[in-house]
Amino acid sequence: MKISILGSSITDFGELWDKSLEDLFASAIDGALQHAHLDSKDIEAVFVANMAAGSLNHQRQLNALVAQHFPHYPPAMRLEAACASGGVAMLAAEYALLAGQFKTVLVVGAEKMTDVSSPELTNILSSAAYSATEQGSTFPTLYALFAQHHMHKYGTTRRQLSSVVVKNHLHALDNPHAQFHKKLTIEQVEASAVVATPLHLLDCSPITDGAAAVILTTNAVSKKPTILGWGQGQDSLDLAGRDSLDELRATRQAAEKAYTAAQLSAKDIQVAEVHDCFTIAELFAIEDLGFVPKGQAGRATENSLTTYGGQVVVNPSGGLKASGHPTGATGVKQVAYLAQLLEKQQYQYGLTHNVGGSGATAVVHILGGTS
Amino acid sequence: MNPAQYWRSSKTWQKWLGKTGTVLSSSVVHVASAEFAACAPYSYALIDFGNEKHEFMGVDQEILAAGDQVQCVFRKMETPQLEALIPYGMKVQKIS
Repeated sequence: MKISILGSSITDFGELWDKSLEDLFASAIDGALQHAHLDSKDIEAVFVANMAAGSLNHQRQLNALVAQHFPHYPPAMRLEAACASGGVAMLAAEYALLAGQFKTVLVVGAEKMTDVSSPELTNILSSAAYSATEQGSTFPTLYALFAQHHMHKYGTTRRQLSSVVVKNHLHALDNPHAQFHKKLTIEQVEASAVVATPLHLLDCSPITDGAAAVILTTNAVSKKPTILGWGQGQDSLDLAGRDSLDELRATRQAAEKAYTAAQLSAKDIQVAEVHDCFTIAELFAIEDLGFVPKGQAGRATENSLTTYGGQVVVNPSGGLKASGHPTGATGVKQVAYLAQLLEKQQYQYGLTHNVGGSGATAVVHILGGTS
Repeated sequence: MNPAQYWRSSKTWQKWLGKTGTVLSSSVVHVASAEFAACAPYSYALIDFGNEKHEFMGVDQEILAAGDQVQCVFRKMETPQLEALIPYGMKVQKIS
């Protein structure tokens, strides 16, 4: 059974003070319907991705909040897997389609993050860690442990981490919805405040309001990108339970499943949206997805292998780093962004990679072009 | 910290107190969540205790690095909240 991406939409990402959580959902849904030339009554079910509206916006039962946007109140469910909520919601929709329950469904992810103070937000986001055993950790701290390990073991340099920022901020200039349209230099990254050694403020993805939606169908359609394969990987919630700090095993497992399903390998992928919540996360991603050998991601990035004219274009949207990271929306936005590039026939094969927390959950999708 | 959560966590103290291990990776946290902000900058480390691994905060402003030998000690964890409960717990200290 073939699943096609009939329509997609991404809202502006940023500090959107005039937009509520409902506004974000509505804007992404309406945009995707318009792109797909569908009426809202054509949507048979809705899958909602969101990480923390209960804490951030004092709003739960998001399935009902979103279903209310449709005149026929389609069945809806909300999926949460921290920053991988979007990826997991995509999977839930795909399982429902494969089971033959529906023919056309909509996946929408949104996060409204800027209404709370920074310390409050840090606290809410840290709930994606294992709160019982990772006391005192923050999101950046857990990735900082990965970074220290990678630098110690493979000789990855501070400059190589910064080269991820420079590249992704350059890429974001082509994305009209990106939170930042601002070139950054290696020196600016290293001059920014230290958050958790060795990570500086500009190594971290920002706090973002935003939403994205895609419409999936098993009906026969022409000239639309298709989903060729997917995979999900799970690992220990806390770092202490992982086999090593060498890799995100969940990413590797998710990628292996997706490549097998798509009958493709890493070398076939021309473009990828990967989960660069921190610079080090992009380096792990391109190694664990098989784009470069273990330990060489820093060098590959510094040598421009992950940008236009290189081996694979990584994060053409600017990634989480420069396009923004509305946590629940990110996994959906990655698919929407690539689907739009594939629909323009810019590439034949693309990959998305969405990670929850410090790597306990990973979802990989492989998309195929329209030809 | 919520008093019931605090009481439950206290049941693990006996297991860790005095244990020694080796730092696998460590970071100095400069931006902490509100409850730990008064402790910053502090070390946060993944420790290998031989038969298992665990993550702990370092004591005070002590900087830890991979390979350091550390021991679990009993310390104040965070600034007391309105409950007036002073939360204690496990941290690790370098063995000199």
